[in-house]
Amino acid sequence: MPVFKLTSSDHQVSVAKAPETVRMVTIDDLARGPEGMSVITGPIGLEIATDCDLDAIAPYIDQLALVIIRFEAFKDGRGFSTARLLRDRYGFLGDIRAAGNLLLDQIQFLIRVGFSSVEFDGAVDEDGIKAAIERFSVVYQTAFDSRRPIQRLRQSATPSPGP
Amino acid sequence: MYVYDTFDQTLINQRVNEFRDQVKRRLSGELTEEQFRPLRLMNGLYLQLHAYMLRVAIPYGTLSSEQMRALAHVARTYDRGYGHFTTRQNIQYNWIRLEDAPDLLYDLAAAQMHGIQTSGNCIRNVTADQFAGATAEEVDDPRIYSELIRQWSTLHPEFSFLPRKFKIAVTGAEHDRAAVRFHDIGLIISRGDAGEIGFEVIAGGGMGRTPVVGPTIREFLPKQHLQSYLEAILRVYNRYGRRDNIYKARIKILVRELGAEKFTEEVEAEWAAIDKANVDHEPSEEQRVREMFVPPAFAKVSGGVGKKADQSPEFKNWYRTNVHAHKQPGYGIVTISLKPIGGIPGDASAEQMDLVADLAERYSFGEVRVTHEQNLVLPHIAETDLFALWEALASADLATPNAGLITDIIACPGLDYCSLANARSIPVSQRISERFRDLQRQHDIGDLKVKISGCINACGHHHAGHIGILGVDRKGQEFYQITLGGSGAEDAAIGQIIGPGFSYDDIVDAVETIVQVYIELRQEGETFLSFYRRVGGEPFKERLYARV
Amino acid sequence: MSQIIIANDLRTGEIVYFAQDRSWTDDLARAKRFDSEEDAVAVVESKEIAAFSNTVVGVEAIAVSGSTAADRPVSFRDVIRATGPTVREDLNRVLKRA
Repeated sequence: MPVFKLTSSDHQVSVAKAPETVRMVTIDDLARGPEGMSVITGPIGLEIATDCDLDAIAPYIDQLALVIIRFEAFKDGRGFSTARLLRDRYGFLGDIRAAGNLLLDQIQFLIRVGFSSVEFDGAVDEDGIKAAIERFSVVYQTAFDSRRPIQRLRQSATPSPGP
Repeated sequence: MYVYDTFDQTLINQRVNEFRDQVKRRLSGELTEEQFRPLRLMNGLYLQLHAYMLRVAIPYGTLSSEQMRALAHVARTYDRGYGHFTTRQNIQYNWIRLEDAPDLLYDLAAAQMHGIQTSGNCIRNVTADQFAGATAEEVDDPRIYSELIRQWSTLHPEFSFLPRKFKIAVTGAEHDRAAVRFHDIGLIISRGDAGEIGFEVIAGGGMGRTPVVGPTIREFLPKQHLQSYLEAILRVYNRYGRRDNIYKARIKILVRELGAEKFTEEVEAEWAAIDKANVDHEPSEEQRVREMFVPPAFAKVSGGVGKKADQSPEFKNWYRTNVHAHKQPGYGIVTISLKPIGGIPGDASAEQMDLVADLAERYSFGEVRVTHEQNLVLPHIAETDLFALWEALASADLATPNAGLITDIIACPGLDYCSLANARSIPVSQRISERFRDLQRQHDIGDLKVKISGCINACGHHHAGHIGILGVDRKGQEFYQITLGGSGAEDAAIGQIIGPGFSYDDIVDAVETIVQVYIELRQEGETFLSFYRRVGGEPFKERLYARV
Repeated sequence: MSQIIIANDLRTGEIVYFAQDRSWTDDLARAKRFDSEEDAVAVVESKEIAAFSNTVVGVEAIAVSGSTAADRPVSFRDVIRATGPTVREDLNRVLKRA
């Protein structure tokens, strides 16, 4: 299924198809250390489950260009915390991909917690993704993305009463 | 009360558009029911026995006259002329059509209302003391913090797919009218050592199949760290709450399985690592919200309730139970009972809603509250207006003088409406109400909270009833188990099962027997709850099962 | 014991039944009767019913007391679904007699 790259700056989110150039390895590969990994060149990626113990992969994060978090069910919200922690706590700067059973309607949440690409199980078109991304122009919370929460917008705006 | 600014309004407008699009995609088949279901639930739309049910959020139970009129409009235009106020201070409509729902939500959005997160595995409506801002015994107004929590929790990107639903309640008074210890998170506003304001934090309480009185996990949280601490709790729950079994997925199970101490350690460790400046509100935002909850411009009131009132025994009956002391001299807090004798608890017609809106505008600075015991409140009534208000309420069957008495029954919709139910709760409530209709008798019985749930999910909060009634299905017949001694107040306790259950035909007699035992054996001035706590279940069992 | 197939209309949420002519009707008397639970469930799980996934939701087989149009659902819950809340007779559907 096509992979969509998601980039976010303060008010703009863009989406584009992403070419697959990353070689996937396993945690065992990484555990073999530099000698075992020496045959592998180029960017590497690791797929993890939504409830992955991030401490276990922390030693290898710097080597990875990509981490895929696999959603077996779209209702499994653990993937959102895992991505968030991978960014905020473990400082991962590469591509974090949400893959699997996901809904278009989750895409803003995915971006906000730090996912930078998405691969849906089912067929999805770019227009649908764009529409989902543009659905909400305001957000209440600060998250990993750089969107300013409503609270900050209020501070910049001239005070105005209700609609 | 809180008024949306353009940002709040934009968000709910865009939410309506999102839902409209989702409904379109469902009707076209682009979304399957399995995909659509969690999306519609997150806008409060359930599929029930007869039709779709929509639950509209009434944040911390506070609404304006205009909003009450919007609710009446929905009842009239999209439903069958009535709505039901719930045990979480929300309102439910029972006869909604999916194809109408986007227009309905569009209409509500114009009144700053919505169904966002009133269902689904996300953070639900934050509930609070219905006397907030009016009672003298308040450390601070819980609605200020409830509003801050509302904003922090609305469309939270990380916590919208939790293991299960998540309910938060806030109280600012020592007398807990919000049942905070029966919530996933309960907050009691308190003062720290230096007199600064903060919260006692309770986590892991709940009703349902496994009722738990929540333990305190933090004695004092400074108020400026409200959101970051909640974020820590939610992140621990989101990551470690069980997802294998929906009956074991609430945070109360996680707290129990880890133990309160270990759970607290996890939360504190997470909280220590959170970048608080990013999550906590600015003091200026708290101030902005606070300014919306300042008391109204009270008048200087003198003359009391007046001569007509003094000469009216009916008024005096109502005053006795339905008017609560206000912090402002010359004012009172009025409870509008939605429990007419033999009526359906918590239901109100569109006409009644419109009348309440008008009366609130005229007498209560345009403000109404919903209680978690399914009544309404007009929070700021001048004493000199009480008689006229009472007369107006009485004309619409809204002046039943039974607040807190045995006929002020809390009941879930039950098998008459709800697809989860095993038994009916409403007719049991009606029959109990009829049995005890005599007001003198009701006063003799005194404070007695009867709470009825039609299934083990306990939406009627029966675990917190002084008399709790749980409807079950026994071999295809409706059957009712009785618990005694529950309390949702600051003396929180889970009711104890008294013994074998009773049939639909026998349940009301059983309740009467229980009341009779109390009347016969109580000591001077002892409430039902105190009596039970003193004597236990034995005297009741003996009488109930004597001839078995 | 006979069975019928019940569902909620997707658009309106109203109770509907699978009819003899293989469409959906709100008239219980016109609901197609099945002789056994197996027969009814087989239809519930069939491709024919799956094709209605954008018309109805919550399709299930329920027992009725007999095989004539006058017979009512067996479980009280299903009777309430067929007729409406017992506490609001003014909103009830009267079960039609054959």
